[in-house]
Amino acid sequence: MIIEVKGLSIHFGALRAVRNVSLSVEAGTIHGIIGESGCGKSITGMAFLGLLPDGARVEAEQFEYAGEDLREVADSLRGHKISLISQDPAAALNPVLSIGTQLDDVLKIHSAGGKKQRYGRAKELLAATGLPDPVKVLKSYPHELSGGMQQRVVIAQALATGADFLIADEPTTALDKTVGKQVLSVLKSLVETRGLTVLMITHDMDVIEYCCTRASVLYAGTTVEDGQTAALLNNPKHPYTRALMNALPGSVPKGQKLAGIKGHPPKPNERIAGCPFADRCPSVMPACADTPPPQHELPQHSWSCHLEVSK
Amino acid sequence: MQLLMYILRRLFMSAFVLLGVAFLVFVASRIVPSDPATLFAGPRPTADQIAAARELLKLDQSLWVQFTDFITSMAVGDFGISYRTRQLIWNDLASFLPATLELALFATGLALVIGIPLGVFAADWKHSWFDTSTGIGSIAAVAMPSFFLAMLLQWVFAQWLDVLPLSGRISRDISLFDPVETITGFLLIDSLLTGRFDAFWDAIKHLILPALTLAAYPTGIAMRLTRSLMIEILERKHVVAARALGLSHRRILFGHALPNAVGPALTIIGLSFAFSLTGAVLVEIIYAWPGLGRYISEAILSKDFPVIAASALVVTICYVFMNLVIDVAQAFIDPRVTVS
Repeated sequence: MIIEVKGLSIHFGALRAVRNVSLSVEAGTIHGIIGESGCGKSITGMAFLGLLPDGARVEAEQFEYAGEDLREVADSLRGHKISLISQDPAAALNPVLSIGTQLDDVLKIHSAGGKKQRYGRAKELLAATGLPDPVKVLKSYPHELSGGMQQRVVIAQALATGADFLIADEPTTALDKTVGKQVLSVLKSLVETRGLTVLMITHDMDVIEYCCTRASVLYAGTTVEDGQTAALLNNPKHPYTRALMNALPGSVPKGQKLAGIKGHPPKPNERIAGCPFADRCPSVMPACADTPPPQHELPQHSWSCHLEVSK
Repeated sequence: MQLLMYILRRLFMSAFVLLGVAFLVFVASRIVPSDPATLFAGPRPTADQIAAARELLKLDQSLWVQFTDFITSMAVGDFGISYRTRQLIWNDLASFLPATLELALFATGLALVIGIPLGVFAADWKHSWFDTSTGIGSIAAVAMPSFFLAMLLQWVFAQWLDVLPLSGRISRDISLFDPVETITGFLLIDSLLTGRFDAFWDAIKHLILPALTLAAYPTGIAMRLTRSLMIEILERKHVVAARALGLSHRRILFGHALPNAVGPALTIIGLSFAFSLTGAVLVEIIYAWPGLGRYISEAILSKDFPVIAASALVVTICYVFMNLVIDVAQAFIDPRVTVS
């Protein structure tokens, strides 16, 4: 396991952005984190990079990269061992610098060798992300590229750091579906050929299904279910995971309305005594309100809910 | 290529700005309630003298003829004769304009190299003692009347410390006994061209105090503007991304964030350059600087229309040119500017 997280919580004063996240990521795989907006996915991702906003307090039983405590080493690993693929590629690239300059800036830190070697390496990296004309892309500015091309450049930058663990924060959300899929397949093949490990933050079950070996479902800053993708998709145990599946296009016959989840997730300043999903759960029972749900464990699959395993 | 088209387009538009200003100057000189012929004819003129002046100045011709005459003579640099001094306006401008330009450019340069870096550091060390003190300093620089600042600087640096000259453009020893040959009219350039390093150093020393006085306002504004822009830019996603990629703090600050902030700061400094061309009358008077501000204000007081018209046009040309330079600089910094 390259990443081991147990009982991670991130507080901003009285606000609890992340309450209880646990996950472990096997090296060389893509691990998904899925949940609604505001459930603490991105904050969790930023914690791995040590880039939390001022005033954040991180507490955890275990929060490790390759056996090292990230609370202590995140700053020195950032940009060397751990890097980021940002959500919105148009915003993640500097609008006034050429792609060549931006890529070279990263290569300058991470690779020995002169200007010529760095230029060759930059071309190589862009080609590795499936960009057809690296020389032209290096001369371009971000606004001259399409969203898909921009996202490939962002991936090439992350590769340029030589990091083996990448946080991909909704890398396809700003792209249309087909382009998003192409970008994901690039990531997938990079994971296979370069032995990368990726933490894939998303709110799209399709993304999980398409590229993740394993995934964690987050709700209100808490891991509610975690398991192999197949187990999660075919046999979802937590009512929230099931509700997410039902909200997918294609989960109902054509012409019928999708089943959304009514209500909103609890706010970060709310205290939660029992199960965080109790207010919106279709199978709620009295115990949910005040008792924290028990943890159920199967091989490669775990969830926390008051419902019995048999159900 | 895109950049070249952009520059050509800007040049084309500048020509229209000049034409518009020429038109406004002409209209203004005709609707002001005073008779140019009476002014031209001198004190207590006879009716004959006025009539002669009217004919000489072609005031009896139609407005259209007068306007085309005005435009064509302006276009070839024939600014005419001052009503007040009977001197060729061209000669006056040739000596006053370089003095003013030298001062204004030097002051603008100071505003750039002081204001922008201070703003960057203030944003980087937000809410530190440095931020607070430069904040107070910039408010003082903007709020302080220039004549007061001028006197303060004179008192400290000329009177008390006695390291810089009180006023003037060059020492009398040099201007009377060993003058610098005039080539461009810019003392700093002429003294370098003729190898007169003593005169160059002397001119610099004379330039510092008036330039500082004139630079106070744009420096303060540029500093505060850069600071607030940088604070916003440092929160942007591409800056967070640059951090995640392991870039050094210095590289992020100056290589990634600053180029995004420079554009608006340049615009403000360009505007203040226009102000220092003609609005620096007080500074020019206090420092006995032989510049355009004083020349124009005296012309306005004596309704010396040809001088006002010529100065307005020349100042407009300088300003339009400065704007062009800034626009091109911005296009170099931010390639998105040339699109559209």
